[in-house]
Amino acid sequence: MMLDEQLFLWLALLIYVIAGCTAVVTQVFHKKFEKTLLLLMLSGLILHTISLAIRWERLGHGPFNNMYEILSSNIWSLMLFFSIIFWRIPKIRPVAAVILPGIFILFAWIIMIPAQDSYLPATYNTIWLFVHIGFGKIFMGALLIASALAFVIMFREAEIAIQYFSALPANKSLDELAYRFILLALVFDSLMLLAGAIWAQEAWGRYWDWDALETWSFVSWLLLAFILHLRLAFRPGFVVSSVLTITVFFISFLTFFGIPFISQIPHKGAV
Amino acid sequence: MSDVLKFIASLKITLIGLFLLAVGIVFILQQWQNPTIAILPGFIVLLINLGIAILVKEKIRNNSPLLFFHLSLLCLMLLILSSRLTYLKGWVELDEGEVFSSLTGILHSGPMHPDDFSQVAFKQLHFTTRIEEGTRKETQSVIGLPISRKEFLLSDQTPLTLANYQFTLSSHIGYSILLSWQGEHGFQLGSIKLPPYQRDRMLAREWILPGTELKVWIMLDMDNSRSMAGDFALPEDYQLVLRYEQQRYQIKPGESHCLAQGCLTFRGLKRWIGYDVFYDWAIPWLIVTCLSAILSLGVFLWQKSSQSDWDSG
Repeated sequence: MMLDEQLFLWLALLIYVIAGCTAVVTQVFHKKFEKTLLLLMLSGLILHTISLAIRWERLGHGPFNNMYEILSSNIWSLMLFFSIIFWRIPKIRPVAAVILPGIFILFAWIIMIPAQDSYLPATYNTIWLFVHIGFGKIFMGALLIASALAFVIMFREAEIAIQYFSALPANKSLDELAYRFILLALVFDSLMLLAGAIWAQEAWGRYWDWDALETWSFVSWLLLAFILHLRLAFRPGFVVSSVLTITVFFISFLTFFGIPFISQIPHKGAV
Repeated sequence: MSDVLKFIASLKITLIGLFLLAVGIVFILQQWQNPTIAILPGFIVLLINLGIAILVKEKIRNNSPLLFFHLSLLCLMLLILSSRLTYLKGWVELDEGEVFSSLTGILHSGPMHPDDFSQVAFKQLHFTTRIEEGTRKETQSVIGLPISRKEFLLSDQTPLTLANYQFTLSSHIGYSILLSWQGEHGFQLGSIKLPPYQRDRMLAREWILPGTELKVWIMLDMDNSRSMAGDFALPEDYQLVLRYEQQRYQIKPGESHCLAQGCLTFRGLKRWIGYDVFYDWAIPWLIVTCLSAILSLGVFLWQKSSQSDWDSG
């Protein structure tokens, strides 16, 4: 069973990599492989879902606990979120050439980590865990799209690789769309923090304890609120907005993946 | 005057408040001892900014979802403030059969916390817990509630809440030594809680005999302590090691040891279980205001986004 699980994951990763390469080739050679790309992403997602399901069935709990599980489930959710956006907003499909290679970092990370089994602490056996993580995954998905758009804006403002992103709408439109994804991220970040607080109150008798993950999550939320108010108060240019968007993405990325990496379990000490 | 109010209500002041909160977070990340104090300056700036903004900004008042969002945010901040003034975080350790009367210790509490546990009446009945690799795993604890004359099953997922005090299972369990002391001032019966059980940890502590100034060191000596696995139960074979004035004695259950000041009888063992205790009357209201703030913000943003296409510019 362990072999099947790994096999399906490797196949999924391989297909994601082919999808990423296809996205880059599409932009570099101005080819139209959009349907192929969508099919590749969906095929990868199906194989990845099978891998996660086998593991879930074998261990009796979802992929929430150790680094391997967190990486795998986040690759899955980011790919799913992007696939939906790719399908629903055709005008920004060229962004796939930025997003998919970006997710490759997680592929490289997961293949370096042993696929160890994890033990789910008793306090993790609650519906609030699913709610908390579900909102968190939407939050990260929205931030990923916003930061990819911000990268494209910065490339174009710096006049780097302009020809590869010429099919995308103007920077003003991309900036507006990135802003809307930031708003979505703020709402789901707030919901994630609220669900996490309810879970923490039930499990450990405190809704907020300033542990490393909580504190850094609050930093991400604060930065999102700062960006939105800054935009309303000063109407900064595309570059400043893009830099701030990318900054909040990196802080959230480090919170999601960095803190569990240094503390072995998501909420250290709160088990 | 209105210019001053408009300035206080401006987004620039909001940004200053958010910046001050971020400075507070830096202090918290540096292991600042009191996080509440660290975030207080930013919090107060934002509270005043928000309150005045609701009063003077027509843009907020004329849009129902936006107004509802700001009012919810204001309620949320006021609730957090009052919650911090009255909250309590502590712990209690209870023997099986012991009636709760007060906390064993307090970690933090707000300056206005009412130290009144008269509404919190319960009796610790039995509990079951599994030891795996030396630490507590799944635990269930039965509590007797004298007012309703019912029993409550407390578990890792189900805390007990009485009069806004929430009792959550802590990671601590242990043994209590039952002792009686016949001294010059009469007979006393009581239990002494040993430190929390951990594999390879010596279960010992110092204790002053009642009515004397004599300090004794007691240790529970049980053969299976280092290999305990499965249910956390009373050991089958155990004895008490007693040490004072460089003398060491061993007492079996039911045996006594007499000193110049009186006689100490070892009456047996009990198990104790620990709870983290948290008091915050505002929790349900915090959830309601959080939800209303997020929902109204969502509605406002949805309305705003629907007014124009992102690609229209």
